[in-house]
Amino acid sequence: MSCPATGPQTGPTTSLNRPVYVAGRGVVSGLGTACGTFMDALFASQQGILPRERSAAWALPTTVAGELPASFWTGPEPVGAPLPVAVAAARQALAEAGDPDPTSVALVLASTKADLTGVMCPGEGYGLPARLATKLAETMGLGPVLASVSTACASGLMALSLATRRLARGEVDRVLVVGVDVLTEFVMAGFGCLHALDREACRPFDTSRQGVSLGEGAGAVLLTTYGSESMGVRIAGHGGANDAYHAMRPAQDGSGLVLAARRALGRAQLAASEVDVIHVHGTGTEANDAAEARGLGDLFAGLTPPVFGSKGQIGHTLGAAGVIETLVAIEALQRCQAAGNVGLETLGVDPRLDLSPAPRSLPRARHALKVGGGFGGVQAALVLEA
Amino acid sequence: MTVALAGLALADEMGLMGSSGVHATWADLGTEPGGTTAAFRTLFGSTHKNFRRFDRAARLLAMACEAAGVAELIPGSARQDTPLLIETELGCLQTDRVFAASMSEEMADSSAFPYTLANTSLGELAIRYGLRGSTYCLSVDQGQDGLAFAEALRLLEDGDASHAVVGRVEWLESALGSWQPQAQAVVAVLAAVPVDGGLIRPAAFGAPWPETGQPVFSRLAEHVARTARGA
Repeated sequence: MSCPATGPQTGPTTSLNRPVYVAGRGVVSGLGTACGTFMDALFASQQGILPRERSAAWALPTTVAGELPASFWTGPEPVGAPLPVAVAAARQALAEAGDPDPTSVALVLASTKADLTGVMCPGEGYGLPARLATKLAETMGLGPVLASVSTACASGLMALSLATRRLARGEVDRVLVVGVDVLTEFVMAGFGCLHALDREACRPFDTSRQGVSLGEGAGAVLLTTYGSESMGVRIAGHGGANDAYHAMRPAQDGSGLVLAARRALGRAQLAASEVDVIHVHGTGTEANDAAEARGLGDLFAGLTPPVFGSKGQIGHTLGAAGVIETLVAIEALQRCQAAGNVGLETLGVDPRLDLSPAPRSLPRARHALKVGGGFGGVQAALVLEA
Repeated sequence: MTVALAGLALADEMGLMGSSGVHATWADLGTEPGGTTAAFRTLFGSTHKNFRRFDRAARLLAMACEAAGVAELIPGSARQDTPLLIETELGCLQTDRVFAASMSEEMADSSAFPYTLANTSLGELAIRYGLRGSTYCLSVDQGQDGLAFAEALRLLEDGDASHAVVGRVEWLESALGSWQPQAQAVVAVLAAVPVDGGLIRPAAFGAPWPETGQPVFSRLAEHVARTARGA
């Protein structure tokens, strides 16, 4: 019997599988509001989680946050608005790529709550990322908005995965992926009432870890299929998965993370043994760090390659985290160096995770694995190739 | 390879209807749109974990998934790869407002906060059906319709999965700016099938395949309502 409700016959696959390159990068963070200064500070183990200033009036069970410097908020937009943060990161990424015609660049946005005006104060953001994406595209004169991904703390990695798929299939030639979230009383109070905030700067993977520190910022990466625009790194693989275990906690065995990582490695046609460095999610919560360590230990069937995370320095930037931290992983490949795990003193997770408090040189820096996850059991992974 | 519309359901302000055979009105069930834990049990003979915590949008979505026959249509062996892709314009605005209001209390509402992320509810669905493929929550702007559907087709065409659960959900109690009150969840189960590979299930509700450029979910919702209600 034929099926009347079917799409057009497509053959085994329509994918062109074009290579997808990184052409430009932008970062706005408490550690630096330009990509270069941010990377230098991060790889020098500087601390961007500091006593709260902009958020000082909010009653919260933490003394610190990864806030943007007060000097950032000099434009016409209200202090704490996400648009100027996203624009600043996006402009950096386009500039590094030689400022291509913006109308030739499509946009994919990643954010959890975007702009909460209309919920917390007068305005029309309503916490809806698509509205912010439209404003960002208009402000920058960009081409079409392909998607606005709001998949909790995995939004950034899922956005990069979605953009890579569109590029690889030949649907578009350039995509700017922007991950952005700003600190709001709404989100900080939420993590606070869940008892998920560390009172001091978070200590991912340490025996004394107490929870997350929140941060704010944006990451932007311009992806292209033009090899001539590449800065020497490509996205070799991407994968997603769901733990299907608990809506708010990761699967304790890290199996969802492993599934996502295996899918990314499979797409990259790489064995786990070919990974040279791993950038982890590393939130500082008891459950996340333990699950991540166990999963990666299982994936590598023993000691992992050098592992590092960044949330001990910049805090958890939520929807921006996947993009900012992917840029950090790229920087690790380019510097042949894994940054230190700031906040780590005594390892408190599966010892197969090869973590060091201090920066280290990498004996080989061809492939990086970036992993992340979020509420709703979402897990995502990217494989980067230099 | 071709893709079949194997299951389809609509939950709206009037009731719930799905290709699994469910057809009920909220009035018959004595509940508001989206239903209650008891209504879910009455309709489907089982309970849904954490349903009582869901906002109206998430309840509509959970009801529509069950009515579309997600549990029956996707083989156990395929669920390891099956993605869940949902688009929404209004997200979980209802829960955002509930949580924001609770912030003036001594302690903010810790049970509401996780659901201020729309994909937390998608995680509950992934758990219920054991869907371990990618989970996408796509925020769409006014006038956009079908992004999640198109993305699911890409995943199927790329061979990432043999099935996908896709949908759209909106809920708004009272007019807000240019938005009118609305209550609607549309869920479709897509199945990639070999063209000459044996028996293929008839299309759910006899729905026509959405043409390129159509507002996909609006058209599917209209078709289900017309077919099931004769409207």
